[in-house]
Amino acid sequence: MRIIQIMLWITMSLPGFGQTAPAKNNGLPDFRRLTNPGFGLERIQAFIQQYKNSRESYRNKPVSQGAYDSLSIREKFTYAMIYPERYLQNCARFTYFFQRGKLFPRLSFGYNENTLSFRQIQFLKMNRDSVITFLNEVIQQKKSWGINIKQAIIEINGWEFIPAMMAYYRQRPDDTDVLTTFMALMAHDVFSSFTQSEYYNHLYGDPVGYQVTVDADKTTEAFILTTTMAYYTSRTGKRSLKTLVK
Amino acid sequence: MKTIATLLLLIYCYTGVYSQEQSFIKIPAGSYEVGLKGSVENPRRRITIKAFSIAATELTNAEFERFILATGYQTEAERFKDALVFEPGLEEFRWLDDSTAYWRYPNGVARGGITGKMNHPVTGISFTDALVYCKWAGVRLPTLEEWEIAARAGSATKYFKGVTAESISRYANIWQGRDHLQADSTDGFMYTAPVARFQPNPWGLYDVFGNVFEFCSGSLPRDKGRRVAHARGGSWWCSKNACNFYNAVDIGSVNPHASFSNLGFRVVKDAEGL
Repeated sequence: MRIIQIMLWITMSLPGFGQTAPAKNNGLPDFRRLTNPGFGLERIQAFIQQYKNSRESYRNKPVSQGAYDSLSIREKFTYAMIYPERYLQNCARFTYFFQRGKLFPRLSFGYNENTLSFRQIQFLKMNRDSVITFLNEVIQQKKSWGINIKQAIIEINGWEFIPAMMAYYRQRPDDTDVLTTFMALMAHDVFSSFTQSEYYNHLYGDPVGYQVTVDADKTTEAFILTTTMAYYTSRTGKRSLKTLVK
Repeated sequence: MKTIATLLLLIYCYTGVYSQEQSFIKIPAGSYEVGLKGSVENPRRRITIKAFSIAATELTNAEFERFILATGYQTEAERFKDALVFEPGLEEFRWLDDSTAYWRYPNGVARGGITGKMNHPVTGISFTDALVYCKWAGVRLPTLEEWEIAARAGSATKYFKGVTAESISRYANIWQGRDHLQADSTDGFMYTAPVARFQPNPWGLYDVFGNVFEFCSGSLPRDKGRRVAHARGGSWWCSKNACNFYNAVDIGSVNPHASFSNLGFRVVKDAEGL
């Protein structure tokens, strides 16, 4: 029964099965932009602007530690999602890790010339359960999931999002960052069905390459989706086992 | 062939010393090829430029110190305590915030300062700081295209003549480790090397690849009107597996106020009348 369920999921997730992809444009696609969470957005934007006004134009303006600490957990989440506060190094090729028809091993590392700071990453990891709740709220409201949503999922190793991402991918088969996110999750957990594959060797093996790609063709896609579902099953199995032991 | 020989002779003849320490290479006015066929961001094209003189080396700590002592200027990292530093053990493309870091301590006080490294390139400074230096010194940053012409030294490939992906370690201080989890000093240097320690390009410019990324002036279509700084040539941090920008084609982007310990610059003077 479980196998049928998985196969149905995968079939439904294949591009072309569901809705057609949105029209292409010449700029970065919408899923490479930031998705704004709804909660406290205006307040956090005003909060950030207050700090921006106090410093020179274009400078990164992380809020002071005291001001940051005054934010609630939800507000810190919104802050992290809309305001990556650390400078990104010159060669990170953040926006350029996108080429239609190609899959990269990793997501881009930030947005424009900025990326998540240490305290923002720590916040996401240390508040994993809350962050899962907040992310769920955001993705249920949005038709397009920005780069920040997927980056947050990777930072917290959010394998729980796999079914939702499968469903989203069915709606947005052009958002191949979903496949990259799946691979990053499996690579992080050293899921053997993936790490023993040719794809893994090519994308993550030795030598490590940040510009290596594989074609996002049907075969690759089917492999990633199938393996991801197996990974998800293995994770839910592990969790069930832990629950039983408890 | 004759043209190339004449060009090299011209460059040789016009090479001069403009300041007490910095040697400049004069690049004659003319038409030069830049870019690479197939590159989206830097496609192959022919451009015409005026003559200019470019420093043979990256600006050193000693030269930057003279500017600081003469002006009392405080760099952005000193004022805003927001420099980014590196230490082995970090995941790729991850840097650490260090409020103690600035040009005298490019990787923070705990990782040592520039004592004994006054002939290393200055780092831990921002694009904005570099512009202030240039104004004081009566020089300027190279444009993106000037930098590329000087770095290529007449080559039609992404490297200057004699360099390949395999031989580049003779010409460039780069990271040769598999990743940045373990320290790498294969070439004798984990961070910066003294300027001119590695072999120069055919026109006499040192460290155009590796050592530090060099700020250039100019903008790119991808900036979309935002104020973005661009630096070229790769750095000691760059490895073949992550950021292999030690070539004459790739162009980086960074916030103009960001200070990293792998960002520096070399300067240019206009050479009217050449």
